[in-house]
Amino acid sequence: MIFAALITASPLLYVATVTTFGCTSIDEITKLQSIRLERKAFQTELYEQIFDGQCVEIARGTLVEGSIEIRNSSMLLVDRQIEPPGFEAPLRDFKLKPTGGKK
Amino acid sequence: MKGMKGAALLSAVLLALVLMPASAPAQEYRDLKPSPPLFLRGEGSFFIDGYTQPIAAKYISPSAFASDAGNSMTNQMYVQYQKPLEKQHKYPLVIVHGCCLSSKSWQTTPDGRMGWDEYFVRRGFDTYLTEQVSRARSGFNALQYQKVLVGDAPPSSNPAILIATDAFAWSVFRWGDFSTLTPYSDEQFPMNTVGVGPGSTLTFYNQVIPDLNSTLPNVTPGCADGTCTPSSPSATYSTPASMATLANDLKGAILMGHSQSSGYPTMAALQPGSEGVRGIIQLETGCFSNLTAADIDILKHIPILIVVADHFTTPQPTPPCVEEMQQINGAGGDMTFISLPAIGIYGNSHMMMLDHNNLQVADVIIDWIDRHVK
Repeated sequence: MIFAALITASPLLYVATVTTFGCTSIDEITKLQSIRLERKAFQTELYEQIFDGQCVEIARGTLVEGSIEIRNSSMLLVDRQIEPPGFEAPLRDFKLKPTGGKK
Repeated sequence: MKGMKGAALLSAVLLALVLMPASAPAQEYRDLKPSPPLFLRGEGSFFIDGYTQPIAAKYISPSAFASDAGNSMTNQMYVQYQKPLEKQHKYPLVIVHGCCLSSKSWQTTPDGRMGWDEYFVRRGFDTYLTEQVSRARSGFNALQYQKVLVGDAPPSSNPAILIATDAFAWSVFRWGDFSTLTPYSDEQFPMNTVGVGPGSTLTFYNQVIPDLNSTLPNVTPGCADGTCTPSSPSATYSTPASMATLANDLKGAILMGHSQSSGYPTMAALQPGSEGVRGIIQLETGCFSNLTAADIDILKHIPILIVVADHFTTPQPTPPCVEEMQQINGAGGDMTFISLPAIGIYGNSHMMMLDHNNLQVADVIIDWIDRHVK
């Protein structure tokens, strides 16, 4: 828990390795993940959620600020610092951006 | 007052502007309905600042102007306002539109009736209409497209542009069955503006424009070289951040969003340095189930109203709204959910601000403001 708190206190930069999505609800992410392979159903659900402002699309290669979600370690909390409260996103769709020693 | 720099504020001058129907904005001139004179003490427009970015010569089109390479203003937010002669409410109302639309959503309806912008002014609100950053009269970042044009980036790197179709509108605006163009029997939307019935037009679709939100930066300038530091409102240029700036500039404002932007007022309230949000109105969802204790501690001091209309096929309120209401109200806050059918107002669409009974719905909101926003 302390470790998780430390992680969330120090947002890092992540790169989306595939085109993915972020939502304001972990449940919505879970729902979208469950139908991700059903292309039409997935796109319909995601499009409607984007339209309603509950989700955003994150293009492959997009750089985001992120931290591991305390409540669910399979989720990345994206852009909380920039657009609080931020969006939940599937962690496996991102990789940590090497810092190159920069601070 | 950074965001109002350059604004044509005329508050010191009492203006009596008579807006007759002949000068009111509408898409079909012949459809305009008469309305009595509207007396104002001020009106104008301004921008919430964007940021300047350098544009190299090779990205200037047409290339004949390449010698004009320089800096270009990006992601500034356009705001227009009207102030009634007799202000009757403590805080102004700042309104932002939803996906694939512009502030036109709040103006004269597609069949020529009074829009919410005029109605709220007539009801004594200083009323500010904003264009989402990257939409309509606000600025957007076109540089990425130019990079693709000259071969500096692959076409697949272009941000997607969201284009809403008529079929999509029928579905998400909840008008009825698109395949047969059959609206719900009690539908309140002016369906004669979307091709239904003899003599109908497609006037409403003039309001639907491409959505460039995916061009907005996920990472702000100064946050792109390794680790992030917390941003300040002046370092970000999203619509919520610009709304927070506007609310600060106004020394307090009620923010209202719709659909795609229904969560923006909450996001504005949570921006670092935000201290001007006095009320939140979210039309057709905009709830969050990922709020932290610190977020709730901020939001519990701001009255929040959710309004949803009719013909939902899923239970309302949605689970995120139920969770947020439990969190906010459990912490001593004031979050209200109103389903229009539950209070006897039936047949409204997602676009309740354009429906036949749009002013009746506005009265529900004004009544809530009067009772909850102090």
